[in-house]
Amino acid sequence: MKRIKSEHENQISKTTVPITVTKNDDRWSIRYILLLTLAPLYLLAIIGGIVLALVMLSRYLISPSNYLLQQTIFILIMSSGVIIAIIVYIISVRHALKYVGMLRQNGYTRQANVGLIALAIVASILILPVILALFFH
Amino acid sequence: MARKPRSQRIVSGYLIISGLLAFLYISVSITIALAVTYRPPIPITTTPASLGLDYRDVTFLSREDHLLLRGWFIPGILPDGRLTVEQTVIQVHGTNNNRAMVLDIDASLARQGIAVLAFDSRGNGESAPAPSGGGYFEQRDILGAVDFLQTGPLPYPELGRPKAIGGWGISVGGAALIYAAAQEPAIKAIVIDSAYATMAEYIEPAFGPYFIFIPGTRFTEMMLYGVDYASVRPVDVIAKIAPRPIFLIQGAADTDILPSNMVELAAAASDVPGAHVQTWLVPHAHHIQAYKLVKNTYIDRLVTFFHTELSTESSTVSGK
Repeated sequence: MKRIKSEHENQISKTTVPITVTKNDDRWSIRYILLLTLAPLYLLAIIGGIVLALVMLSRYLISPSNYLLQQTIFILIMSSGVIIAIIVYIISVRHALKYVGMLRQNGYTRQANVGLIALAIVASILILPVILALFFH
Repeated sequence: MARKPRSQRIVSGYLIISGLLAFLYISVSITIALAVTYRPPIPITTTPASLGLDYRDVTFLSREDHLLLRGWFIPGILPDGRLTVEQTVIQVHGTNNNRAMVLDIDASLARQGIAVLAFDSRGNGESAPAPSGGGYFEQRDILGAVDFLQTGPLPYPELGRPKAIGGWGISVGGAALIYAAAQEPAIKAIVIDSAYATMAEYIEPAFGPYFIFIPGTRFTEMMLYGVDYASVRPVDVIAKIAPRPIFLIQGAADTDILPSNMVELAAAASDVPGAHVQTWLVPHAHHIQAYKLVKNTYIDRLVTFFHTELSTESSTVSGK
């Protein structure tokens, strides 16, 4: 009896979930998928912006005659910025890949493909400055 | 656990590789930028007294950003033994060096009656720690030296103030001197030894196979110190020095700053009416080695140039 109920529930979920979810649940919308898969990119941009703002602030607040203090603060800001950026990148990419995998498992192939394309764009934008540096230095 | 589809594995690999390369690039660029702008100063191990010269320690502030700079003021010695500051030359050393770099040449100038103000540029010797701008920030140090000579508390007050100020800059110090002289008419004549025409020509070859880090380093330096080395171009301002005389010296075997730099600088400096430019390409001389290779000729030419171009009425008193 228990087994039959369980199979019945699965059947319901397979047939009804896609319809109800696409209509009512934002988690399966293309917009949400893009927001999640492009997260590594905009989170890195936010971190970069914060690092830049902090450097500018320390340049403004600390006199050039206090150079060694300024240099120490620069090193702290830059190194912690890079470390935080690496951690944020790893977490956001792992989360996005897990989510894309979940979409595929649930049969949302189109959404999963959009997510993968977005992640490939993230990787391309990230590597672009390095490639450009090869040719325009 | 289900195996991930091929497309997902490819994208995962792409994300890992691009992330690794991007963060590696950023980290190396930051490290290079921090390393090239400041190196521990080289201590000063000698003084003009070791060469039998009278001198005083002096301190003054750079113009604009008011950094504390330290140096030696060495009065010139006339043939009769009297001291003079009538013709004073500001000596500007090269990068990662100090005021003692060419002390023996300073001594020779002093013995020929030319006073010398030799000082440590920012971040060097005993002067205040500061980032190097490859000559761009250092121009403020030279302008501070001019202010000191014109209005500062000069030692040897009995000798009065210099009647004519000249400059002698070596390598990056030469680039800084070009910038300073271009905006300060009190600098009446300059000698530039082994200066670059554009900072890019000086820095970029130094990267060698690591040239890929040039844009990253440049961006980091702009962000941290507000200097874009690609825009540091003495060749663009040297024409403003005319009609004041310029003497350009360059080692023919220099591989750090190629002789073409002197050609570019000379062409730009001569490209205005009334320009007065001399050049001297020293055969077989490597970077900033001309004064070692042909020391006596070098001193003779320097002394002749400054005596001719800085000549004014005599103003001397008895020395010790």
